[in-house]
Amino acid sequence: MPEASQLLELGRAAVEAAIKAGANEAEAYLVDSASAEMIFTSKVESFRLSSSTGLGIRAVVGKKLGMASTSSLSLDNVRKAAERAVKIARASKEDEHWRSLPEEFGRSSVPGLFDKETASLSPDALVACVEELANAVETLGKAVRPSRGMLRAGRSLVAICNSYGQEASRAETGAFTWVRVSAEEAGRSATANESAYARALSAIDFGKLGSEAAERALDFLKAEKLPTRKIDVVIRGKVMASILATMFSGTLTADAVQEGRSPWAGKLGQEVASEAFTLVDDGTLPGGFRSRELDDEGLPTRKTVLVDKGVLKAFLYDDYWAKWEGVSSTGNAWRSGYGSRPWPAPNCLVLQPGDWRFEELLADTREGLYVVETIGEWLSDPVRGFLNANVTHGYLIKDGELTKPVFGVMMSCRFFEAMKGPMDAFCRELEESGGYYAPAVRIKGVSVSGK
Amino acid sequence: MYEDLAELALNEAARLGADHADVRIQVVRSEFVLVENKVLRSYESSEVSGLSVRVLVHGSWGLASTTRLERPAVREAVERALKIARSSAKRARQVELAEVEVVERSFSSPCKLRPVDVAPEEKVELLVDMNREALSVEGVKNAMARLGAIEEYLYFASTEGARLSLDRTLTGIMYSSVAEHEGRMERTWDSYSACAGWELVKEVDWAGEARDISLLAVETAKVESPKAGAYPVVVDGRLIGLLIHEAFGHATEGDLVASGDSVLRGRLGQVVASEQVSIVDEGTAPGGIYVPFDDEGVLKGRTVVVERGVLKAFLTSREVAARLGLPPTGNGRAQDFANFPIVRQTNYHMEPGDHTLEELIEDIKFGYFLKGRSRRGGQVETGMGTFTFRAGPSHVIRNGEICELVRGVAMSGDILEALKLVEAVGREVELRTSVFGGCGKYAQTVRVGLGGPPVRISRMVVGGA
Repeated sequence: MPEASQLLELGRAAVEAAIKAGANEAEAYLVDSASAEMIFTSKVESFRLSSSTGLGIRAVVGKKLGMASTSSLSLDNVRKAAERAVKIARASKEDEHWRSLPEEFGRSSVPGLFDKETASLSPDALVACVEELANAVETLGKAVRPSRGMLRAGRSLVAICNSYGQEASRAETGAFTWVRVSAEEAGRSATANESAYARALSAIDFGKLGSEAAERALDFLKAEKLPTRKIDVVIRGKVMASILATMFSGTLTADAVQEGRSPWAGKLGQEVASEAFTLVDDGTLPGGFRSRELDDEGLPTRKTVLVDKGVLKAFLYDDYWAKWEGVSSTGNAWRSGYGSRPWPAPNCLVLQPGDWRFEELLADTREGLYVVETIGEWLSDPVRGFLNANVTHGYLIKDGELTKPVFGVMMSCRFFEAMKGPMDAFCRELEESGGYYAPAVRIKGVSVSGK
Repeated sequence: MYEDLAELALNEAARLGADHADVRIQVVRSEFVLVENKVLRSYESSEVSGLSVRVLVHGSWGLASTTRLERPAVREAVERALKIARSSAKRARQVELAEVEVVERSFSSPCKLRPVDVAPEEKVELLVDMNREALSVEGVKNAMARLGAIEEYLYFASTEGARLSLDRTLTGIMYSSVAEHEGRMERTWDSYSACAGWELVKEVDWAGEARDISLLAVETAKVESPKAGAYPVVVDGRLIGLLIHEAFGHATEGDLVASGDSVLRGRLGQVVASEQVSIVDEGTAPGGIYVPFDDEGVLKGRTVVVERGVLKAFLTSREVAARLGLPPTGNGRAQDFANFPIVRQTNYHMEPGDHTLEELIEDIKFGYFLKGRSRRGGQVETGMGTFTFRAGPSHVIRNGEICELVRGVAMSGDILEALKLVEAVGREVELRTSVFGGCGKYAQTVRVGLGGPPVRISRMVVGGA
């Protein structure tokens, strides 16, 4: 792995080349990363190691911007990319709202974002993780086996510098795994899925993932459909976290609000949910999958309360949108890759837990559906506020107990209206889904369509 | 020059003990431009190149990739590929590869006018004009327009002697509008891409298209969702591709069949759809993605997957073909050079029937005409056999007539049931691909072609609200 200083040296060369070519401001964003990925069933199906580098350069000519990028970090290609960015900037249209690139970088202290062991990408350690998972499945008998799975681990070094003499870097690691377990018995078959995202391989309990998926797959051999009806649903925290990502990641940002594509525009200070609903963006969450010490423009991350006890309090900013409104960036600049411009997006988005124990919530639900796995929840509509998801794995709740497994029903509700009342109970434990965090919640009167 | 690196990698791999090796080199130049509310938000020009080497050592796979196209980095990649193949050997599947024709050939997709040769100013103006027209519609609060153009070069070489190259250009436009009506917002979008150059852009009145999508946003903001339940539906040609891809296509991917993760396992030769249904997967088709060969150097011809309702084939890579004892179909595809080829669809579509749209609709007393414009995509759980997808703004069918507009909502169904419920198939087939995205599997996205004729399905679960 190269040192940050090596990347920054190339970054400075790119910035200098852009200024020389006529830019009055320039910023370089560099990445050096490596990842390992294993696809597995009960066996390792494939194993790969990738290493990649890249530079993106943002050049400003007057109030005109251009972005160019290259995967090759040879000095020659770096300079050429800088010149290309300037050429594009000259041909661009002026943005009258442009102020400047960030003039002062900063850094928050966030523990748990880099793990040495994960960074080593040791093939033996990765194979051991898969073995632990597969063994946990196989101890449950011959009827179950992992039929698809994936383990990915990686490390990345990001360096950012600009023509205001600002320089910063950050190093991070990450691991992700997903497994699908298949069960077969007496001519019937079923599956179940589990996944986890973490900053360190050691933070994932591979054995637990395997046995949970296997037990559920066995349960679902006898799954049934439900007739179309209205029912109270209890949504597992992991599923709720994924719903949060769809419902809020693109609409609570300042660009969406200013550009007229957010349903939350003009609602600051208004009650948008019940008192039990508090939503926080936290770039400093220790070990958080979307936590960072500095954002993709070099600005420090922080904690921003978006919805406080039901009242909409704030939006998320990068430097550009902050300057547009004359406020400070919330440290939410993200890029989809080194070649992309920054724009505001959530860091760790956290739906605050409530005080219900899961068992209490079940006991309080006379008849309901506990939603454990869904597909297509990301097809929900964050603008009009409709939730749609296909419940592939759910359990019917009867008299406060989880009873028969249910599959293949659509659940739909007016999510924004649910936030104001029908979403009435929030559990104590947070669960994660790729940097989004939520507790299990109950929503009353959701329509499900099945048989 | 890159070809030399490929030879170096193959020679090194053989020298270090690989039983099989193949190399993929990819060089991509792309431009993505975004204009929102008449302001240029980003103009990104990128160049990415890289190489990967995949080795088979005593039946165990290893793949390593690098973006450093230099001899030392390539040598290092070969060593790493062998190292991980050996280190996973004790737990790895014993892989065999199906025999395939060793091909030496070059391909290129049609491109009359290279997008990179078009002045940036012209591209930006086009998108600004689209925004202007979209925003001129009353009630529209936001308009976005994107342009994407990709020129890529792919090179494949194997120790068996295959040497293939492909030059492929993709160009596309995508646009969206957000409208508000009495406090309710609705976003609609559309896009059009093809394996072609800038000539594609010149064929269409884009400002008019942007205006149309604004009008659709305004109308949709005024209407409600369908009521939850199960109904007869007619699915248009823009949406049927997505349905076929999710509801059936993934379950015919041979790797899922082999690992027991497809409800279609063991059903070759069985009736899996109504007699009206025939489905093919073909590498090159008008309007679709251009995939003359896959990422294992296998020519991708035309695979008949379903013939008059009978399941005839699974899609395979070389490894999966050998495992299932089926012919290799050229479906081993990777997102990019860095990824493993896995079994993927190419242009997977339903063959036309002989009904007009009116005939499909005339017998329905109450149902929905589901449309693909402004749709949202879909997902499938191949093991449980259940799928979902979300239609764009659609229409009620009442007494055989297309009636009022409804919001687009999610639908769902069962793989083993959905295509058996196809009652009638329309005449016109429409295939499309996209420069902006594709289909995801194992965290890899590949571009596919989707489409087909309109069809009538006797029952589909509609998730209302």
